[in-house]
Amino acid sequence: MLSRKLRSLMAIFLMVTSFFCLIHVSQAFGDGKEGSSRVLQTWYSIEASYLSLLQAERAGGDVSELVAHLNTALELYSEGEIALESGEYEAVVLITDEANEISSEVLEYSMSLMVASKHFMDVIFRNQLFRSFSVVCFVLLFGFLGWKRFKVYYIRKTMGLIPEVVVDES
Amino acid sequence: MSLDDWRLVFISVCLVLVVAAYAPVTVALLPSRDEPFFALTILGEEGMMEHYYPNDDPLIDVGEEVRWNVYLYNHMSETQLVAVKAKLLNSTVLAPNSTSCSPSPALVIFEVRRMMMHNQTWIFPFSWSISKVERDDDFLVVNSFSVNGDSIDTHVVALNGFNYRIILELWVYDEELRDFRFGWGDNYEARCAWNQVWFNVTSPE
Repeated sequence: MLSRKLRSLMAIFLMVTSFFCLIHVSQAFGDGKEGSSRVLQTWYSIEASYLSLLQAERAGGDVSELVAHLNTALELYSEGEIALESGEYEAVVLITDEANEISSEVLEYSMSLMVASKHFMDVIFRNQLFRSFSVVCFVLLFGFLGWKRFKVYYIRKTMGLIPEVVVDES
Repeated sequence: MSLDDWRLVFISVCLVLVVAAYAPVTVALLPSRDEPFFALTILGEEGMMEHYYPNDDPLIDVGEEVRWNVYLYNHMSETQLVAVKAKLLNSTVLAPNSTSCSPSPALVIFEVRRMMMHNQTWIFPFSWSISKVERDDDFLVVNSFSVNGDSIDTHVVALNGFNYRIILELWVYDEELRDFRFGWGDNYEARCAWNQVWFNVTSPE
């Protein structure tokens, strides 16, 4: 009789503990899944910011500040990976949130920098082209006029020369 | 000098001036002819190419910390996203192939990512130690390895603990692949950078 009661108590205890274990495991699994997706999302965010930063640099923008910021985001990403491996999911959330914020800022700023730099470089290029064209016009015009004057001066000088006396020995 | 000679001089001077006037525009349009490259070097504790081991002894004890510095230089004409991957190998596992630019198949024990601007140098500390070693007959098995404070489980076997090596590979982010790849340049002119340092491990008593 006693053993029967004990057995049913044991069964209830096992059922309750397994229920709590299941909840705990599923929660941990869910946290792990969420944590890894957060870390992955952070990487995609950094990747997008890098590509945008590259475009801004190719357009002629100064990206040194953005690179420094994105390196901070990269460091946070590495910290997030470590936190994920050690199961510190709360830390993963905090770290990845900060990294995402930084990379979003970089993305936004680099896009506007790219547009501004493109416009600025276009203006510089057009100015340079205009300057070069002006110099060429100046050179051709003054070259032509200078040549004309020189030609006149040269002919006058040649015509005004007194022929040398030639000794006829014949 | 005759008038024809003077004409030639005038025309030449004008041509030179025209070319000089368009030089800045041409330079802006021409692509850079600088050869792009990366440099990767393992340096000793003091940042020099010496003193790679404690007391200059390549026989490393379990738990003994070895401090290196890793030097990286970007000369690729633009900002690059790079990853340095460290691998622990014995003498039989393949090292990276510099001709085909294929990486070593060994497990990555440490990885660090960084964005580097053109002409930028980056030196970072690389401290490592062997945390756990096991003897299996004549072989020594490194079961746990620690880099910059982070521990990783490994299983690298070497005869009597001789000829272990740490390899550092430089992986560069490829815009087309949207991923890191070992080396840089296209298929015809592929380049890669890697470095290795050999050491031995003392057997546990």
